[in-house]
Amino acid sequence: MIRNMWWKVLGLLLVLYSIIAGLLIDVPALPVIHQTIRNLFYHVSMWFAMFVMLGTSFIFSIRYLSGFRMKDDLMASGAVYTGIFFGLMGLMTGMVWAKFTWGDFWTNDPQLNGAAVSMMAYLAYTVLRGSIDEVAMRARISAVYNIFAFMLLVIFLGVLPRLADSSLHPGKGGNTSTMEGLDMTMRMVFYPAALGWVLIAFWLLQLHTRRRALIQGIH
Amino acid sequence: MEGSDKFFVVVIVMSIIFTGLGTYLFLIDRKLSRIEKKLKEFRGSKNNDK
Repeated sequence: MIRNMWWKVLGLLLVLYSIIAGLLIDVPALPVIHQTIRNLFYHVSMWFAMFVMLGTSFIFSIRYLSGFRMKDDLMASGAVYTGIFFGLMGLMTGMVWAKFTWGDFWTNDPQLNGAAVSMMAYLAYTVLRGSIDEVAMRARISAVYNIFAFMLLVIFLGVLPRLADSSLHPGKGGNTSTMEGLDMTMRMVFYPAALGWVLIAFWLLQLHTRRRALIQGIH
Repeated sequence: MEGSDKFFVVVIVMSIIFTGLGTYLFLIDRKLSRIEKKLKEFRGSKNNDK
């Protein structure tokens, strides 16, 4: 029990720590964002969890194509669904944060538009899967599409915003504030928070796949 | 933050809610494990019949 469960407990404890410490520590006094800088611990963690989930899905799609095992397809699709969940959470929390700091729910920021486009690409993945009845064909076609979708994600969230002329996001094109500017106390909360959410994302993925494996009789 | 404004109460409430959600996840996990075990036993007994 403890051997299999330790990382789940660790994930919960890290996030619990980030809720308590994230609200109680002293944050640097910054113009415009003020106390909302604490959102960094919660909003950015969602994107970390999403990226790791979709990366996991990418790996399992490659594994499926090299062995055609249904279990890999189950993991790949489950990871996409979990990733979409965290992506939507990231979009919603980001929109609220943007409204109160940048003045609008949606700004014409390369990072925002990139996130929207890549989310759309993954929603198309779910539509694609839903439209094919034959199991093996669904697994094969969606695995190929998924590899393509992950490339899009990396380009739209990792490359293009950095190449853009101006971005409101720290560390992205034209923006001088980077992660190096993050003060030490905040790092002590942010890194555990991101790791904690990634662990919880893996947990949700595992629950999702185990449930579906039971229903579909895959083992 | 200054401790004079009872802000810590909000932190405690949020912690309780999150811990509750975590406990719920554990219960689902345990239930799944039981069903998986049962299914395995069922499959094992079916193979013995043959």
